[in-house]
Amino acid sequence: MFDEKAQLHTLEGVAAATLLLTVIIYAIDATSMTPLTSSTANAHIETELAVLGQDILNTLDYSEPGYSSNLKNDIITWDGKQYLWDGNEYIKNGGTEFLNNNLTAIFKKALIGQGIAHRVELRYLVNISNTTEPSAPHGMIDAGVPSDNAVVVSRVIVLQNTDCPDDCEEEEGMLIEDINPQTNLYNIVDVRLILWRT
Amino acid sequence: MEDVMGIFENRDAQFMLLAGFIIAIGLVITTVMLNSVIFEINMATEASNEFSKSEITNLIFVVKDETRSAYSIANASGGSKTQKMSNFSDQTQNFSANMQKIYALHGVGVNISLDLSNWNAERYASFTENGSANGVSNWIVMEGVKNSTIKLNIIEITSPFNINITNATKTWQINFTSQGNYTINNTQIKQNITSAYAISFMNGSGTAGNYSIIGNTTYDRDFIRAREYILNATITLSSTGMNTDITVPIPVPW
Repeated sequence: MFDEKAQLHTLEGVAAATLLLTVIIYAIDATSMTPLTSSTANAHIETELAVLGQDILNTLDYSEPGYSSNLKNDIITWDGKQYLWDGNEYIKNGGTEFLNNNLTAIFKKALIGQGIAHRVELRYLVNISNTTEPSAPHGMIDAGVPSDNAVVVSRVIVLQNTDCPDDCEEEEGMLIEDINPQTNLYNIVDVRLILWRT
Repeated sequence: MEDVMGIFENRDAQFMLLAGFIIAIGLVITTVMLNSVIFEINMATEASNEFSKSEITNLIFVVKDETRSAYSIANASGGSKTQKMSNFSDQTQNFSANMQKIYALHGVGVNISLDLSNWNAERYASFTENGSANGVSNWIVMEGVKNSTIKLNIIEITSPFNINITNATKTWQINFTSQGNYTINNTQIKQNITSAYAISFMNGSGTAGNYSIIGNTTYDRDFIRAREYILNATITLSSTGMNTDITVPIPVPW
């Protein structure tokens, strides 16, 4: 009864307790990655938002042969200014004019009521020293800074000279330039729709 | 006293502890494996979002649109076939180079090349749905038509080819058995059938050539459906750890 066995048993007990504690810590860490945790739930929400955004862009970019899509028409007729949602309409930043086009019509139906914040940015090509480069993003519709869980969906639109009734560069406030006046190709625009939950 | 000594001398407690150790280690392994599995599942989800079906569809659509535009503009500019093909290539090469810059923003390499051999050799498309000889032979070209003029230039014909013009109650069938240029104008159509009608190609696999159908629909929207050649576009997509070639047949001009 007074030999070392008692000490050995005590040590074994301590070791077992430590090991069990380690198991509990591992288990708690692991459960933070199960499908019911917030991070994975966010991933599902992000996927849903991305699908919704793609559907919006797909709908707007449909066109029959020989016709421009609604999305392309919105880009051609955009005045180069940024618009903000004021609770009722998309109003020009620092102005009083409203933006009413195909994009805003679908946003009002599909996003506003769902409380989904959104932002539309355009990136296109610019001529710099006889080479074309992508421009910085230009906001068409702005709703502040996207959250960390925001999703970005995009649509590439090719503008041709023949897409404009006269000359695309003559369109009011047209920021997008003709990158190759020798051909019918006018420019390539990357339309980025950013969506996030508020 | 002997019984008490017996309890301390046997090894049951040690075996219990050993069992506890084994269970604990098993739980650790299971937990770590579960963690890894869930991590991998999440990684796979993110990877699938990287290059979506919509992006590929958009790219194919854009390439088709541009090819058709370049073809129409090249033909409208006049000149010899060589000049037209040169004008076409100028625009599409410029387009391809600039598309690379736009798609670089998405972290994807894109290269577009076009096979103009059908145009160069004047191999006209079949009158099937997708223009290839083994495409769908019987198909509807346009529905809800109010007025139209149909022009055909049949270059090859190995079996009788028909155009069916069908409204809700009647079908007017036009038969073609030999090569040549044909025009079915709106007056002829109106004499045989009332609008709204659908225009269908039947037995298109045995016939090749070019056609155009120009008119308007019952909701007063002008339309054009025309086909001369099939140009094959090959789109190469390069992303991290992935390289894909997609070949798309593009009927031109529309």
